[in-house]
Amino acid sequence: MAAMRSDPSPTRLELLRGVPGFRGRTDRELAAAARLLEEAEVAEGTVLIREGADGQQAYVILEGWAAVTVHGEPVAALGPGQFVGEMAMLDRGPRSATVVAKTTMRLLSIGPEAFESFTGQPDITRSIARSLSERLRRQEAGQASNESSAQLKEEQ
Amino acid sequence: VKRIDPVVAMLRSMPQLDGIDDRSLARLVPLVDEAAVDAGRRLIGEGTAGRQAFLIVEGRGRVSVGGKQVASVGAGEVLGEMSLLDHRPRSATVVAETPMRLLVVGPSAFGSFIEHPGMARAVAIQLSERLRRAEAAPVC
Repeated sequence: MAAMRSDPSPTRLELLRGVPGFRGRTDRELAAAARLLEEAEVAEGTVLIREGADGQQAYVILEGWAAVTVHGEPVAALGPGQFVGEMAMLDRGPRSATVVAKTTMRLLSIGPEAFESFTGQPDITRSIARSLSERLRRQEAGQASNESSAQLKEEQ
Repeated sequence: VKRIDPVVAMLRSMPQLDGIDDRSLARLVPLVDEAAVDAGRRLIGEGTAGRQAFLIVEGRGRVSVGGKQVASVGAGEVLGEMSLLDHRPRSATVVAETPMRLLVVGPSAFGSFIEHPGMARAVAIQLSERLRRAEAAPVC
């Protein structure tokens, strides 16, 4: 029997339960959240997000991996349980990076309305903020070490 | 005549708490300390353990990483939230560029602050903007 749209599959709920920010939710809360999301499967090589473009979607990765590049330079790899594309949804700026599927991926696609509803929930927003914080640390640390190696080259 | 607590007025001036009801705001008041710091004072030291976040009420601070300035922060912005979010050492040094007035938020108080959806969202937006600036910065 085909599952109805309004009745998210138990697997999908289990996957959603693994996403930071959704942990500890009741089945009912998870089902309500899952109803706001569209499930998508994308092939390896699919460009999910293109740097500089306008963004109207964020994603939660259920399965598979994606590579993130900025100005053509790899900056991160993203996998199950991680958010993609949340920055443009948060600050309404253009996409800051390009994200390409490195494997077949299963995603939950989050439209503007669902995103609005999720970020009204502090747990989810907090987990988004935590992941942004980690990315910012990596970025700043990378710049500081590039800076010091450039300085070192100049001094040599 | 009803006197307005200065801390209430300061909290009200924070855009992140826009729309907060009086009762929720009143609950935050005992959780914060008011502080005035002189220009030149170091608020946050890169690599140290971080136990506090700061809400900037007045003045400006200079943010540097590895000795290089990466940002300037001012009134209405939040500082030091990263260590409270991910429990890792301070990622940057922040020095007061001008005299500053701050509200100091300890670790358990931070949990209460971020329970306010506007605050959680504002923290995420601010991080997103900082990340954009960091990613856009030229790499030597």
